Amino acid sequence: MRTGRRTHLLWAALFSGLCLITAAAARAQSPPPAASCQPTPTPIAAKPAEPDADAGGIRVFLYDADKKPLARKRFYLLRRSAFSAGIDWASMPRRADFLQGASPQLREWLARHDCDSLYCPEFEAEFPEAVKTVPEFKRAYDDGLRKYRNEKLALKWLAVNFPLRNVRSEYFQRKRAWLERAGQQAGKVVSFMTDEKGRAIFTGFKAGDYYLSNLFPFGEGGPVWDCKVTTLPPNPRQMWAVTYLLSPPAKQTAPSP
Amino acid sequence: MKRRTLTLALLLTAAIAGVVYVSSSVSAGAQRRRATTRRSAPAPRARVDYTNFTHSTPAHRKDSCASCHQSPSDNWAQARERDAAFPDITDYPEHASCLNCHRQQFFRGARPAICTVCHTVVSPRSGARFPFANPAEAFARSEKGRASTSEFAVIFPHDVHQDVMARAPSLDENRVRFVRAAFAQEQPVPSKPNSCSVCHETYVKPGQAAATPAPADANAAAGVPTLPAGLLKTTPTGHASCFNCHWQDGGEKPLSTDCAGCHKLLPQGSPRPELKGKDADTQLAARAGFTDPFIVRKLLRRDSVIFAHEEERHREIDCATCHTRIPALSTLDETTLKVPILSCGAGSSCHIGAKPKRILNEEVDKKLADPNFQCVKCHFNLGREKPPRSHLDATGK
Repeated sequence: MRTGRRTHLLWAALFSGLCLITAAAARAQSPPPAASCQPTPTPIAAKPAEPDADAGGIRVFLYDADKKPLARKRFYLLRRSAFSAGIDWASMPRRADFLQGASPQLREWLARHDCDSLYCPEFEAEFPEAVKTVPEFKRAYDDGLRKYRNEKLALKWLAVNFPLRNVRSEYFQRKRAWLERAGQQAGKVVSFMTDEKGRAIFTGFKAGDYYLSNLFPFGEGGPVWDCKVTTLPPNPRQMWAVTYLLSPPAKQTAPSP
Repeated sequence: MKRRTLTLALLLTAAIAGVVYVSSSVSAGAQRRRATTRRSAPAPRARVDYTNFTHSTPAHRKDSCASCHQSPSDNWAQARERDAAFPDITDYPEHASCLNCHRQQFFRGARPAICTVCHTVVSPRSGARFPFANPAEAFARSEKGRASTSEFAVIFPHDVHQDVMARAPSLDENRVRFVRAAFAQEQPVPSKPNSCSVCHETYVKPGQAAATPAPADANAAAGVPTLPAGLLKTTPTGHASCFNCHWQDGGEKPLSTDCAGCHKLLPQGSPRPELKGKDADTQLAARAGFTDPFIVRKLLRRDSVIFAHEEERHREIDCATCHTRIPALSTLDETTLKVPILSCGAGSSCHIGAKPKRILNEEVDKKLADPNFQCVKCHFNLGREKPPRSHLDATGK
């Protein structure tokens, strides 16, 4: 009787373990959610461009779920769909994985900023305050002061003397390498970054069918756009021949009680 | 008797044959020797001008840059003003880095030519030297700097740096924030999340308080347009905006010791091709008070010399609105820096549009009606020429 119960327990544990592994694997391998792409209702030039001819530009407007423009986000023009190019989504680096050894103060400080590395120039204005509150910054500052004997220089070169390389730029480097690989797999043609109005104009490529994608979600669990676009002939009066509005899936509102 | 005669004849023939053989082999040997002498004669050596140092010399390219250049130089703290100083390569290599190969030239004659590469006066009692090429601003102002052109072009991948520096305000920043108001001084308005301004600032002429936006006076009394203030943006000319991230002692690759990571040696005898714009000329630059050689170079490559970055409406526009192809910008090919005419308002109707008639349409119409009309809203010299196809297309002509 006791042996039978133990066997049942073992089976149950094995089954639960298998379930957990399957769930984890499914979560890790599933691509990020897709987002919507709407072309302007009437493209300015109506007939499709001839192959091998220069294509008219593609204008993109990128909005968040609240319809606010998303500035400084990179988009890629690809030859293949991001979701059918065999990209290894599970190997996408995560910011949290590059915080080993970071003090709670540094984690808190980083959480208030959204840069991929410590080299964001806008951080510099906050360095004088950060060296007082974050142990890693203090160590970097003291190190710089000892080497250069100049307070301003020690502050300006804070990132150079920052003790944790993984926190400083490792995530950015890995992300860049991942994007390089993914871009190659999906046939990257050009890339552009949105301006402060969430606008980007893709120019300088041949006519044909392409896909527009950010490849890497802008936030953890965020969407990846995969928009099929067909180019139009260049419009001599505008830098673009067609406009696409890109927005993530609408936010799900909590049901009212 | 007969037998003796035969023997004698045979001996004589053998002797004659021997003499002929010996003489012929001697003459062949002499010829060979002459030929050998001709071949082994030293080729006239190309005269080497030791007053001119070039990085392109194969022997100079053989070793790493660090084999001659010390990083940082001992004088880095003195090479710039105190607050602007940072560890940098700001001095010539030591004699030792030349002596291994050039000992002979160092001690040739009373005034060795090789000394003039660095020294202003060739004398054992004088150690005075020409300014070193870095810091670039000081060198460019010197007589030697004005006369020299760099052997290197700079590689700067804009797209990589755009990704590193780009930072949009996080969602938190868009929310309403409560701050302690009592005794609070007015805080400066935070700058727009514009990564370009990290390296490119509005150029202010020496002695000018600020780049106050003033319109170009295209119809000045002398008939010569004056250039508005806030015309140009600067481009880093030294290591100041590089080494705070790429310093050898803990920074990011390419490190400051890997000079070739950013400096590309141009083929010998072909200095960096200067992109000559069609609009400005040196006289205009001088008249407008531009003396900084880097700024003059920027002015001279323009096709629309009147355009001012700091103009009231232009400064409100994101850089990427006009510089749309930032990832494709190549510092090795200045033609990629050109901004297309369509970015001047096609779609936004700033300067291009038929109804109401915008300035490009207006000036193109006037030019088509009167070939002597000069377009001066954006141009100086170029305004005298026929409107290009791009302008006609943009205005639908």
